[in-house]
Amino acid sequence: MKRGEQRIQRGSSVQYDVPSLVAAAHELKSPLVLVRQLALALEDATLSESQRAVLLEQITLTSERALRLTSDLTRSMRLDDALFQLEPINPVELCAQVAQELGPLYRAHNRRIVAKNYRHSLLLVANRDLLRRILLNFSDNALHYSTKGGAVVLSINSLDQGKTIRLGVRDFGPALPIDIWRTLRSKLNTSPQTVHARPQSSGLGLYIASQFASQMHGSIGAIRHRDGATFYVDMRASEQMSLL
Amino acid sequence: MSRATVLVIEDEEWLQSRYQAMLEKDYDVLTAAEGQTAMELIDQRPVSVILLDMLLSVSTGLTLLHELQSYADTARIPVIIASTIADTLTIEQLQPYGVVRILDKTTMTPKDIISSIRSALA
Repeated sequence: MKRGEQRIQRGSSVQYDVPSLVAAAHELKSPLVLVRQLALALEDATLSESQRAVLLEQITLTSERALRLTSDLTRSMRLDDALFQLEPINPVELCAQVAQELGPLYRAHNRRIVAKNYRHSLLLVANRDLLRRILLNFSDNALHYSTKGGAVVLSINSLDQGKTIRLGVRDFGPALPIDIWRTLRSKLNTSPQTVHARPQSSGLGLYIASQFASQMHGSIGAIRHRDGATFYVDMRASEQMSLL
Repeated sequence: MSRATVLVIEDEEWLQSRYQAMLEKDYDVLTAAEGQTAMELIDQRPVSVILLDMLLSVSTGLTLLHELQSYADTARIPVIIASTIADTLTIEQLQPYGVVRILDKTTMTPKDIISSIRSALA
């Protein structure tokens, strides 16, 4: 493992205590407040049609962001149901799907999300829905830390002689001060905290992502760069190709 | 007569734009997403009033309030807090930091923001 890198160990199933639920409520406040303020802005009779259209798009995209969090929360409560299957997944296709899904949100923020293109990549073993949610979560987070006009890149790397596949979401924002970085990193494997003074959030999204990963025998982690950060999920490579 | 300058410190881009749109008819508006940029802007030109979010990405609003109180000129700038954690804050706690009004983001309206700024400048 490289310096500045932290691997998160597998956790147990998600059980939310009261502070976690309070943290979830706080986390949802932010997009709801924004939706409300954008809706109030629509009352301005002097707005042009194009200004109105921008506000409506922002309302839609912000609602979708809030819905992703609520949907992740409800999904995380059902992890023990064993209702999900692990199957061979093509990571290139999945990264492209996530980039396409979040493209409108990124464009509306004057940013880009790009899935690196690979002609050949190993398959990995995961549940498509849970892995997609992890990547959406990291990408939602990266949007906040990226710079205007910049890009967030989804990449795929093979580790441990092809036994592990790492899907990374890299932002190119300003380097975070080390104390903020430590706080962020600690949120990867701890249950969400009530918000008093955050860098950005209670860490609920990252906590849920770590639980999703552990249910698929994977783990999440983060790397700090001079110019931003990478949040990644490591998954087992599929042995399907070697059987062919 | 020169216009008053409002410094908006809000890390949610779209909300920051909303504040700017509603204030720029009457005031010069400066914007920052975090404390360091805010202090740099204050260094460059006088600011009449600050509209501050408490939960920022890189630092907290409280850190900035402390910083503002460290200098005689910035300590005099009235601060209006607009926050989702307004229910945990009291004006008595924050008055020593130059805070003149606390707005609850979950219930405030554009009119509340405008009237708070007018009243802070009066």
